[in-house]
Amino acid sequence: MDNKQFQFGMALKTEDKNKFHEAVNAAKKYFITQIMNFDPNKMTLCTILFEGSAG
Amino acid sequence: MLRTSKLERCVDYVVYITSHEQAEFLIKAAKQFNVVLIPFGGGTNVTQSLMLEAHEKRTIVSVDMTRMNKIKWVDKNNMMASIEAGIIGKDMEKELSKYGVMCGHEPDSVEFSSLGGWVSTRASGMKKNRYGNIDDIVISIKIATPIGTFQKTQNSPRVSSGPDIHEFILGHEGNFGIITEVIVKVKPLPEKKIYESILFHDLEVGIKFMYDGTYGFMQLECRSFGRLASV
Repeated sequence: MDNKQFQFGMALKTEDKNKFHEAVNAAKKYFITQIMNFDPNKMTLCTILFEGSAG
Repeated sequence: MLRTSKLERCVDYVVYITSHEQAEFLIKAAKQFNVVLIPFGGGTNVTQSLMLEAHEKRTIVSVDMTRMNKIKWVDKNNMMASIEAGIIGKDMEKELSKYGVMCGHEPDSVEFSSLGGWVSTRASGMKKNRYGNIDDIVISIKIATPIGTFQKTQNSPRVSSGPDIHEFILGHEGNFGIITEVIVKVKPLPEKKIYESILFHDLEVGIKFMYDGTYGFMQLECRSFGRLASV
């Protein structure tokens, strides 16, 4: 999905279940935007579905 | 609408059918009394086929298909299933999973759109690279038309003779008749389904990745990276 869809998806995100999730998500956000240098106004996303055997 | 007190053209009747015979009867009656029939599945058509002609003088009847939502049989030897056309995508996969099989057609509207609708609109899905578009999935279509019922007799997943008359039905957008039953190919249910996502710095890189992935140059290592960067 392109950046517009990505941002819209973020806007539709449900509220974090508890403080721990909130902290994890904040850490993820920091890692992606600050350390990996992803630009929130440019980044895009690709969803992959794997279907197959359990092994 | 409240302000101008003008009501746009809307359907005069809604008829719910539950069998192919009822569809045949309805078409015969509509022909006799000059009535417009509009088959209605999930109502997610994007080509405005369900829009009514504003100046239509004839009676308009919407034929709601959603009560024709049963799986008639599943043949696990030939991996095909006969399903009534009004079934909604999500319900279909749920019912098929009881037999340990799946269809794999997954348009964005899968929660709302119907099997008959997919055939009528020549639909495509997100997993088409693996399972095919609806034209690849369909084996046989039963359609009631003003000149009679058409169904190609085929009890195997594929035949190597003759032209495929289904090409006339796929994408007919409800113009030729009412699809009541479809035989589709099914696949064994996968043991596991894993969703992952990968972030890209911009759209160009993402598109390049998907292009390379589709054409087989992608290394599976990207999977661990995906887990790292998934949000």
